Amino acid sequence: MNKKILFLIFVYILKTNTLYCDEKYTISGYISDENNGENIIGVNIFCKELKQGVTSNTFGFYSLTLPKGNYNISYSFIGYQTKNVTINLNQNIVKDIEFEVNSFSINEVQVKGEANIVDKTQASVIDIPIEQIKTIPALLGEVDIIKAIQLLPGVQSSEGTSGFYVRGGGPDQNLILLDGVPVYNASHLGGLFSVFNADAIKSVRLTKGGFPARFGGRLSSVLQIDMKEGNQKKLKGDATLGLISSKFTLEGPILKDKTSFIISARRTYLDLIVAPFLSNTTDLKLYFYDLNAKVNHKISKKDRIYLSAYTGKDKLGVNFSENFENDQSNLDFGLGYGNITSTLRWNHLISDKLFSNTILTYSKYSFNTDFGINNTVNNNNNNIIETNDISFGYISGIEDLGAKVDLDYSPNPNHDIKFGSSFTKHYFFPGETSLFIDIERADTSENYQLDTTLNFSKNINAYEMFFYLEDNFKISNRLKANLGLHIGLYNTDEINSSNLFNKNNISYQPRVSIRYLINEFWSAKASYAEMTQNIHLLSNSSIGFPSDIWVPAVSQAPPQNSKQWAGNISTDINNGEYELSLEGYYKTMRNLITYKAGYSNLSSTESWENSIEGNGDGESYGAELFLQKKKGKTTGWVGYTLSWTNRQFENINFGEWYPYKFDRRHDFSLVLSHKFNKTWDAGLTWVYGTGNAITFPQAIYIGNPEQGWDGQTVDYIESYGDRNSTRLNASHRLDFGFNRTKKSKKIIKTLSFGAYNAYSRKNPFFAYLTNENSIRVAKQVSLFPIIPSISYRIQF
Amino acid sequence: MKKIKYLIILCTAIISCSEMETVIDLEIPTHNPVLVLNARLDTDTLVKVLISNSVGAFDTASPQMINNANVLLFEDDIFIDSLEIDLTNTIFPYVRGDWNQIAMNYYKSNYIPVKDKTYRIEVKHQNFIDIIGSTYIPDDIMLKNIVVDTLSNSDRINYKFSFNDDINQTNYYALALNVNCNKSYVDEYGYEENYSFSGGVEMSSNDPSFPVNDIFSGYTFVDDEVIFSDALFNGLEKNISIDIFYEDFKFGDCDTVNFEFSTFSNDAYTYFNSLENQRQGGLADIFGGEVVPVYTNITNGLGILISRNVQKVYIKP
Repeated sequence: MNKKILFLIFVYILKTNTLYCDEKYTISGYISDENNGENIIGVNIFCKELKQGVTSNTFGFYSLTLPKGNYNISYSFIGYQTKNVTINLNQNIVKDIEFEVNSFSINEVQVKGEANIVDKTQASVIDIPIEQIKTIPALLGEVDIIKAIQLLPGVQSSEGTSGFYVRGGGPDQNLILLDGVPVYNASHLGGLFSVFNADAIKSVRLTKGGFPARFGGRLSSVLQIDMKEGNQKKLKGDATLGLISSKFTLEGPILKDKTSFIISARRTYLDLIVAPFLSNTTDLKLYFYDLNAKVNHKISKKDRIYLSAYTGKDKLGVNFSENFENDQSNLDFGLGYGNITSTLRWNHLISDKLFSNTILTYSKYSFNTDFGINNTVNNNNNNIIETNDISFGYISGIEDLGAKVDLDYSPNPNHDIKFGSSFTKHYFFPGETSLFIDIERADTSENYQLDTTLNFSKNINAYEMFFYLEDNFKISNRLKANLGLHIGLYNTDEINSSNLFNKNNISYQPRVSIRYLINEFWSAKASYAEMTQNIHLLSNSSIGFPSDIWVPAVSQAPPQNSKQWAGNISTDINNGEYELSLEGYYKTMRNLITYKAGYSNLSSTESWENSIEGNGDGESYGAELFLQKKKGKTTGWVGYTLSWTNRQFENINFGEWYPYKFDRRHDFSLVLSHKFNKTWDAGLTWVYGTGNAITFPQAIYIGNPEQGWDGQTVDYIESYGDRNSTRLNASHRLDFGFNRTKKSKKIIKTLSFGAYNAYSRKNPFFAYLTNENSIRVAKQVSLFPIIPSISYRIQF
Repeated sequence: MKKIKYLIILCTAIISCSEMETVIDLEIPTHNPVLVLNARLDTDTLVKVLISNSVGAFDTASPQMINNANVLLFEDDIFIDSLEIDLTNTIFPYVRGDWNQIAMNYYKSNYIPVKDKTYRIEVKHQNFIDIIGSTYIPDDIMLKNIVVDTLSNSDRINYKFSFNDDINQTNYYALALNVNCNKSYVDEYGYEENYSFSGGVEMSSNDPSFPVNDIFSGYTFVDDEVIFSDALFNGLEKNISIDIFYEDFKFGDCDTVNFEFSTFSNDAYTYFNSLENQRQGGLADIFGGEVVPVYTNITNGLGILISRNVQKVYIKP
């Protein structure tokens, strides 16, 4: 079967290459920003005479093959000056382009991005320029990429958390890639902030549907976050002092136009603020930090290598000691979690039409908690008569090693073929508990020692491999399609230990996107994508706790899969000033898992396999409206989502379908940035969302009396009715921020201040039934009132 | 710098002064009050039933006991008895958690249910729709190979027995050890002391069919009662071994030791599990798991009708 498919791929590539039999040549090269040398993704390269064009790929590379002749080639990208180049194409030409920022845009907020929503084959994709993200007001002034993503149509979230839910999918169904490496927990402080430091980020792209074949492994979305490469031209610094954190970024050339670096660090200091108020005997650790670093080097015109790394950790620790006469006691509690990722990338031009990207990746997420009590008792002669040392530790996580090869082949302007393969070895450690007890008495023989490790769930190795082929090709002047096939292979130690991959664990995932150009300003698009996901996230809470565990697909929890259909109509208004799209989708999901009702992974000793409901189904459908203003003094967007999403498990809700927790009928967001003048600019967001679906008591009744040791007792039992049949109240919120920027020759100083939840709306986080003055009432818990923020930023 | 300090203090004050827990109006599906039937039919006890009504979650009224309902008992679809309210014997159980008491009166019959029969109870009341509950009392189980080892270990006794599981149905079992101990002795000062203890004692076991509730003692299960199913031994002979430590009681000091081996209806097993899970899971909040609805097998109403075949095995005297 595999041989047949490989043969077909070979024939297809051969055929596309020989379609154009005229004498033809290729113009190719990299496109970068002249100010910092950063590669620019998605630049339109267009041949006016033949009305044919291509766009630069993720690494800024383009390749345009045309028949021999004289041409005017234009390079355009919003926010940059369009460049026109006249060429005599009688041989292969390498033409690197450096773009200048559009001089008209200096007093405006210009949203840089791919030129035209109408032309793109793919729907369900949104690029948010990092400069736009930085203008969005944020909680405590911490610019947050994930919070910006949550403002997009089709993305649901809970206030104040970094988890996001795309088109009815769970938080584990989002593939978050930092420089191509999966990040398994994108949250700091239990979800209040995300791990991505915006100062180190170059681009952010969210794909919600119509997934091209190169993506796989998750059902609902792909969030690509690419780090900056480092300024190739000059040394630049950027420092921000905020209310709860500070950050610093330094970037520059090591060898001008050849080797550059960027290093960026952020740390919160809540513990340092609180420290003076604590007693001498208490030591508190409460912080998170992020460290991003990247080096890239141009080996030659054809070869570039990049090495990037990220590490971030949350740390909560309390150490309390007490001395009482001859008794010294020490109590220690610690909780930590974090990610480490690294990528080694090699970009190589095999020919002027064939571009390769090879990466080796490493990613690890781990959560650990420990608790210890230490006690020493001395007699009056100061001799130790008793020591007690008891400690408990828990660790869980996932570790990946991966390799991937992507090839971009541009035989002619009508075909853009991508193909490649990936291999990942996952190591899951879903929960390991260590226990240490050392009790010693000097005057008796009642000593006791225990040093043991308990595994309630097995550690498992899992192996994933995939191959893909996709072609973004022009069928006619109006019709364009992206057709692809993603073939996934999967195995674990459990399923088959003799062969790396088992024939029964192969998934064939077709992907289709079609665009029909109605006229110059309107296009209609449709897509179909099948996805398979071989890992699950088991979560106990609604907000995504660091203690949530990643587990592999096994026989009790087979791989999840989905099918998604989407239809889109897009238009470009006023020469690209506005873009409008309306999109409908329908998605089905199979083999979902969830914890059994009442299960708490923080207190249970059951293995995860025995604690789940499996074979769950899901469905989601809805419509999304997205109006974006990309040019002018005011930019931003309006997003609206009308959606339904439901779940069904055999042993939940008596097997009946029920609304998913994040089934949100209406979701609205308004995001505006306005530049008043050279000194002042402002940002504003307003969001509205239907309340989450919750299971809430509907009735109270008297239970059956029970005879206990202390007499007869009886319960008032709460009757819940159907799962998630009650709605929390709707939430809405206004955030705003102002920036005052002062520029001198070498330094830019920005003072930012703003307010989160400006009118202090008490938005629901969760609700419960309780008695207040002997009357049963619902009480709602909210997270944030109005929270003002201030920060000071210096760029040099 | 001073300005920044003031600003931090101001921000902290604003945030800390805000009350983030508020009473809200929450729209919940309308609940029309229904009859609630609670009863456990045991093979050694007269039939008795409690009838009350439910109220909506936000109703100002509390659920009330109902003493004027028409309660009918059927055995294998044959009418047995019309139960009468017993107003002379009122029980006052404490409400778990708040220590208020509820006055309750049972509807009683002079009939003792028997094993291997299906019982149905119908309840009618003019203000509510009729409700029906039904339960099957399982047959006896023959216990074999009962061994009590008091000699092998100085700190515990070991107790073993076996039984054959019925392959044709899913079975649910409960096991509890009850002791009654009395001892008179003279203490070190020469005074005569009297020791007595009566009740259930803790059992320790590594039986795979028992729930895992302990990790530190060397046993996977430690409790004074266990409910388990035949999922791991359906249709097979089941051997059970439990240890009882002397720190709880001394076998030699006890006058009577018996264990209750009960077979439950499926409904009872589901009910007890769901009730325990709801209690342990607590309220639906962000930190706990999903709430567990307490199981009910009452058609058109709420509550539970369960049954148990109790076999008492005396191992002392």
